[in-house]
Amino acid sequence: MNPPFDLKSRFHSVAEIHSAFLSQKVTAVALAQEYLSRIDASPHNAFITVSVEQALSLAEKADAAMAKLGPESAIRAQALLGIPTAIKDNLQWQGVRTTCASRILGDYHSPYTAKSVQALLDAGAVILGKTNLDEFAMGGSNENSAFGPVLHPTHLDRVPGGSSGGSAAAVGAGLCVIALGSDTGGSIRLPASYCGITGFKPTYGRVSRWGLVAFASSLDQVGPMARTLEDCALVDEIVSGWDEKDSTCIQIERAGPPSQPLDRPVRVGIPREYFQQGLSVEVERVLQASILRLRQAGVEVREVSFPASSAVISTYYLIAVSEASSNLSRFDGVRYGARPSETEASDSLDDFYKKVRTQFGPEVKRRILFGTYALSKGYADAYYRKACEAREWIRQDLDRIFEEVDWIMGPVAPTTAYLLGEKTRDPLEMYLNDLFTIPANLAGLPALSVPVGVENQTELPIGIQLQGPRGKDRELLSFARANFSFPEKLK
Amino acid sequence: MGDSKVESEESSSAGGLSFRQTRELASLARLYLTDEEVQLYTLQLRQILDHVEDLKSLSIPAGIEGVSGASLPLRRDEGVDFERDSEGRSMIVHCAPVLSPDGLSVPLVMKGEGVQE
Repeated sequence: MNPPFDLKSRFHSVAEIHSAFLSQKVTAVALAQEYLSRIDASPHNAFITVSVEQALSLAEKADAAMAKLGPESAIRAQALLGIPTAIKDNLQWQGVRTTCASRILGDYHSPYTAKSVQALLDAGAVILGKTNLDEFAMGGSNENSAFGPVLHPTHLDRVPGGSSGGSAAAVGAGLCVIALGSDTGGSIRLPASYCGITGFKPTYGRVSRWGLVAFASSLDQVGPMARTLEDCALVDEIVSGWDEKDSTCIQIERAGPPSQPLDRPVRVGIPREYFQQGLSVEVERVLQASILRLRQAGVEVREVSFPASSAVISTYYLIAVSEASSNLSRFDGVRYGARPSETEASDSLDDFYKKVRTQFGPEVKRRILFGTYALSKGYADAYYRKACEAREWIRQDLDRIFEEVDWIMGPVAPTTAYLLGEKTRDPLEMYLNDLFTIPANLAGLPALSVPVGVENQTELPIGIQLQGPRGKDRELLSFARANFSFPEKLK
Repeated sequence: MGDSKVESEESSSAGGLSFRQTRELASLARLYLTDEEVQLYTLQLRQILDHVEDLKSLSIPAGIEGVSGASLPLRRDEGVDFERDSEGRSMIVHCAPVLSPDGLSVPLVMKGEGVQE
């Protein structure tokens, strides 16, 4: 006889839940109710909208499918059947509020569903709600939200990282099993590292951006977050693929061909510049331990040179804010955006627009101003066009490195999760925190963050980052799965 | 903080972004800024602009031309026919609150004689 099933115990993976379904220890509805209760009792502020009605309806459908087909066949037909899932609140889900953590969207309800979200629904996922983020995904700490900051899953006085901090905290705190985030400069990988989970940014264009509210269109990418690499790979396979509605989507195989065994050792490059960039002692210790582990597994780890890394921060911020200032111009109260009562007394259209756009928070205003400056007459050549040249240099430099090695490994962030409020007064310091994650966005590369250890004194999680050539997403995930297992101290 | 204090601090600022420029940027971006915000954002943007100045002195190898991110090499959409009457387009247009033969209608922005929705 099976031991009594403890619904309060934490599920760590899709496989664990499906195993419980197969042995009929739990129903999808009971599971959804348990996770909704956890969200309700959680102090993390990870969710902006909890979609109780929709979640229970999806769970009922999952139970009905298992009753009709039998659990095994139903799970074979829908790979995420009954899985408690969260989506970042910059992704559209028809009929549900989308806020982008901004006051300016008011009570906007999505009129359609994002392609990536629809893929989850088609795979049987039970979406519990929409997670908190930095306003319009602008930030690295999740403190820039009109709905209040998200708290770190285990250290409540610290940030979870951002901008997909709600998704990361929700997975880390056991409020869902898988989540979608978006990554413009590290917004999946950074919070994944801080929260001790796994996050994957696919090759640019591999996952449709249809239904993702744009921050910086040439950099934004939707991707999975989960505790395990296996679940990230599973969700990636489900949400990736060609979409005619996104003109930047690329046509590559979803699952990719099986990797052929190499007749030489796998080569991993570590940019020497990464060790000159203010890494904390603990992050460097964990990175060195990962290098040792790979070498012991027969991987050839070598130092590589990445001279274009000196241009990364400036290039990224000029391009990102320029695109953001353009993308966010649509929030004017006519095309998009709530109209506060003050607009009724507007004496000109310009006055009206300004009253509507006052609803943006400080970080969004700062980036719009910066982007307007970078694109304005007389400065565009010096800033934006120069940044586009530097971007191409960075891309070519990374392509050259991938002629020498198969993968690039490095830190995700210079430090572990910092205290709430520690960096809010200094935007530049916050921007510099993105140094290691930005190159993958500028060059459109696949990159992942995987937890590998904890800081000795605080036991805060530390992740490392792996990047690969464009289109080698599945191989990158396979390499990571073969070489990194979930750290005991984070289980 | 009144305008007079902001102006006096502006006159003492040497080089970099001025308070006046920040106000002009805000106007271009259709943002209202309080005097406190003008001062704060000017100082912060100066710091950020000082940092990105390093781009000007970068020695980018010859022959590299600037590209936008959308021209990544894996794109395969050249020649794809994006139909104007595709399902997606129709769905989005259908979401508009009021459709008219000439386009989409939005709620009144300005109230006054001769203004129509």
